[in-house]
Amino acid sequence: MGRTVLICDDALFMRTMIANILKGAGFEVVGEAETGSQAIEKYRELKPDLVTMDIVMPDMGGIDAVKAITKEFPEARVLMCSAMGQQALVMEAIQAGARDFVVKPFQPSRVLEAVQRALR
Amino acid sequence: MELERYAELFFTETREHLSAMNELILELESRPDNRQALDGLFRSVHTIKGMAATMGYTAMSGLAHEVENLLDQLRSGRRRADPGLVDVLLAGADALEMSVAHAAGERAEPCDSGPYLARLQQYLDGSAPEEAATVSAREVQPPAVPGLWARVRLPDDAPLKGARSFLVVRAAEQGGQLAECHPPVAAFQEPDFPGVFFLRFTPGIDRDHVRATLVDAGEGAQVDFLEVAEEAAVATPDSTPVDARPLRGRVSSIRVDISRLDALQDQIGELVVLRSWLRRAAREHPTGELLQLSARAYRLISALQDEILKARMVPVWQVFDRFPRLVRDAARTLEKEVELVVEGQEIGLDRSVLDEIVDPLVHLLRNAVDHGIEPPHEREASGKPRVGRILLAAARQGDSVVITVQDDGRGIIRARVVEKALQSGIIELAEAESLGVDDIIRLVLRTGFSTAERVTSLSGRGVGMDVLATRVRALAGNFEIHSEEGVGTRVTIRLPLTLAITRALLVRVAGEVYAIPGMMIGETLPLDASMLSGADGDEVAAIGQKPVRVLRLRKILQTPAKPEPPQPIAAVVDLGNSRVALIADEVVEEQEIVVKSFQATRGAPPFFSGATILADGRPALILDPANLASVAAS
Repeated sequence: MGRTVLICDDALFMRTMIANILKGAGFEVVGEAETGSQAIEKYRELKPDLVTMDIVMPDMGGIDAVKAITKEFPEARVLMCSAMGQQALVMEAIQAGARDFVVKPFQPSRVLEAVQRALR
Repeated sequence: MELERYAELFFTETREHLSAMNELILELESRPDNRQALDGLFRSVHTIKGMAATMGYTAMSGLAHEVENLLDQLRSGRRRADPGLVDVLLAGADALEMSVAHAAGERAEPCDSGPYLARLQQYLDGSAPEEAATVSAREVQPPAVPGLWARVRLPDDAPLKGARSFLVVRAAEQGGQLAECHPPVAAFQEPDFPGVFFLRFTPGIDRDHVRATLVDAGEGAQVDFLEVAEEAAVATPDSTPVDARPLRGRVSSIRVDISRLDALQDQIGELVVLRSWLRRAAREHPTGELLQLSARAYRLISALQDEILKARMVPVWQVFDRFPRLVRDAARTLEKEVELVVEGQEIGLDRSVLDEIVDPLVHLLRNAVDHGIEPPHEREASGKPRVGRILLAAARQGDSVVITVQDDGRGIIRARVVEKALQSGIIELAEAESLGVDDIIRLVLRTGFSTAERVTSLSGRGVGMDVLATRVRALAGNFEIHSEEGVGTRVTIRLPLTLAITRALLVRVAGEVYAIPGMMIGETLPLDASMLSGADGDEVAAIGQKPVRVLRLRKILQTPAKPEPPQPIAAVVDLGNSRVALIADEVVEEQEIVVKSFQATRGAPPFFSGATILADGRPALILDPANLASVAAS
């Protein structure tokens, strides 16, 4: 049984890409969310082993979502997906309990390494 | 990683975002304080940036980054969305669009983002470039505090070095033996933070283990211990077993390649033909079982047909939402003031029908701005509101969708059309007086006819109205132009909901069956010799209020000579602003047909628009009345 993952990103393109990278490494994508509040809901519902979290999303951003999730589930393993230039936000997310981060453009090897670290 | 797999998705999604951008920019222009629009815009640009970077479209990503910078200034309140800035944003959106078109292979020349970047930069005056300064891995001296220090140097290519360093510190903290960090974590956020820092540990750590932890957290950071400690201690970051409860996520919608839907529809089309065939067989050999089977198959296949039609439907806003921008730009260029009102955005239309109708609509809208709407002073002088109004409306009527483009401009000016037609020798002076409204409109629809005084980039090249006519007929639809001088022009286009399955009138001509698209047919009636007048080739029939031109199908199709039936039938076909009567031997029946478009080989007669398979399995050709009319005329 592969580890389960919830992918949160407002771009289908990004979700698909992350999903393919993770599926290739034996993960099971159990859910996808397009907004921060959806991410929280889905986390409660699915309790995945791992969450990948975009920072800029409509409705509620990734940072607030991480804060909410880790507050309710301190053991949650969240991997932030960031773009260049979002250093302060990523640090805020780490402070809030995110385990690691990857930076777009994604390189599959880097994503998988970050995932391994986040799951450790 | 083969990125081509994602290309399709990338282009679709990027274009959606570009379309959203255009809309949001215009919204910002009218309401600069609309925070939601600004946030939405920012998200779109940001998403494009991320996706483009991932696909390796560096120029596109860089461009998006610049636009994002500008938006950032708006978000922080440092700038306002004044018209100049809106223009810069629109230029940015255009440049992105060109960049996408180039990447998609639709545009040969690469997007030259230089001018746009220069324009953006000019607007961003004074603001320091926000890119992180090139990081020189300059040495940071360890502080003079005795103890065991680890020097951590992140790889040069590590992104977000500050955040990465922060993670390394956190990993070190987990061992519980971190005493001090230099420089302090707060300094990691500095733009020129080089990704080199020092960690002091309490004595007694397992250096190999700590090193491994730091190297790992630091994405392969280089770790050197600067003082040596002897004792070993184990600091294992425990990995707690995770309670795995895999649950399937529910997906409410998926994207399907349109060609898949086409293929599916083709197959269902075959089933529809089978359905009619089966029904016919059941009627001819009415056994209980066959009738039951036929009835059941009929219901199932009808339901299937409904489903595929619905699956192919897309709301018209997917195309309409680019029009406000188009009208705005046209109005700005022509120094006119125009308001575009869009209605019925949610109406669904077959994707392929919608794609085909875009160009004619673009033309109609440009025409309305250019020729229809008067300049503001002229409008005021004639007692009209200063701002012209163009209505673009879609509405569902039975099995068709009606799209209306209406303006409150000056209308088609008869005198100008007549003058132009005389100049180009299309009509004689003697005819000019007797021309009715419909005749005037027919002149406007002629290929190459334009009353524009000058050729602008927007219109006036005489291409357009005839394109509308051709395109709408190719879609088996019809259209009508109504115009009143000084009041405005209204173009009403009626289109079938879907292209693939349509009602048709099947007629027999010299033993062969042909199909005439049902939407174009006004009436069918027996042709009586007393109705006819005029010479051969110039025949007209008295049907309704006006004489209708007669097209004898036997003659045009050059069928083998067979005795003509005593009373042939006339199918009166509506060609927009004229009518013709198609003369056939007899009516077979009216039936739903599945249209198979075909690639006519060169030299094939142009008056067939496709083919279909009849209920008995025999093929039949579908007639294109408009082309029949023009072939007969020449």
